[in-house]
Amino acid sequence: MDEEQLAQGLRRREPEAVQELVATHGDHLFRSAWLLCGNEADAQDLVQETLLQAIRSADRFRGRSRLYTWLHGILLNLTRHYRREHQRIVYDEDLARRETPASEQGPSSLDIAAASGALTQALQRLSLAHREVLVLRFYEDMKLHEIATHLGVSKGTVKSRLHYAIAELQKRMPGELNLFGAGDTQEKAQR
Amino acid sequence: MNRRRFENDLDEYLEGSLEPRTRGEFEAHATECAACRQKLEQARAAARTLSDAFQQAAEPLKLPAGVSRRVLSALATEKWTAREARPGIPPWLRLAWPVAAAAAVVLLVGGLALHLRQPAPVAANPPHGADRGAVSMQLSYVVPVYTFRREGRFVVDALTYETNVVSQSLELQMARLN
Repeated sequence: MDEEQLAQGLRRREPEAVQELVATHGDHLFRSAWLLCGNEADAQDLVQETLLQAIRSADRFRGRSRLYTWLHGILLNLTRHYRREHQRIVYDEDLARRETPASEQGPSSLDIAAASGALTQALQRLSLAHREVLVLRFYEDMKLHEIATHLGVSKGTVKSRLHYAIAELQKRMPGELNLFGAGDTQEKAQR
Repeated sequence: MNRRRFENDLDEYLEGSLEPRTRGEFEAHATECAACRQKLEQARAAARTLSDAFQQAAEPLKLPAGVSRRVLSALATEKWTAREARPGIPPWLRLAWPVAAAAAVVLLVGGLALHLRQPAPVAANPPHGADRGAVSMQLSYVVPVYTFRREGRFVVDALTYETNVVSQSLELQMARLN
């Protein structure tokens, strides 16, 4: 079933189309929602509401963007409203505890595994505007101009938010993890 | 290329969206300037670290089973205006009745105007110095009517057509001016 067929099925509210939508995009949308809101239960609610809104307004999907991008736009809108209604810092501590313990070595794949929990934790302490650009750039792998279109802001604003967000993460991350020190290490190795 | 320009183009370079010529200038500057080269490596490392960390943190997550079932049951219980599901009613037909009403008004006014331009029939016993006459018109049009009723968890819609008749008569009395 291609995207147009899927969209047509959703317009007719066919159960097969709904199942296909969930099977194709559900997990990735859920992960993105989790990175944005930091909590599995809230992420699940957000994804469920995103899917419902997408099906209700499937006749507005014209195929100008990918279906996932359109779904993600709905998710972002819902997340913004959701945050306004739930003014609280949310983070799934259980998930953080499940992460691999930190290594004492320099930057490596193990470090990254150890740091991912701490990073996502630090992520939740940023504003939603800064979290959005980080998730879109480094998880959704969108280009700057795509993020600008997706968020309805200029490319300059996206770049400025990205730089600020990375600088804030660097400040908030434990220094011993040396997450952003790979460049220095490479420099040293080259000398 | 100077440092300022280098820093400005850094993000575009990393995502691979720089024009070939600018890219060449960027890379040339990176080989010449150690400080900018270090900035580039740090930015590249940060991007890789964030990307890997997000992937690793999020990858174990799976959308709980039953979401599609919950979505379907939510859709089944809500009132669906069913624009797509109205059997046999194409969208243009929804305009039928306003168009019919507008046409009726045009016909009524046009017919009246035409009639007034013709000499009015003289009444049997017109009052002194006056002509009397009467105009009557009758129009009918069909209106689609949607009705909705609730049957347990379902909302059943039905379509019927109603015929509306409009009749109007106007008695005219015109005084002679001469």
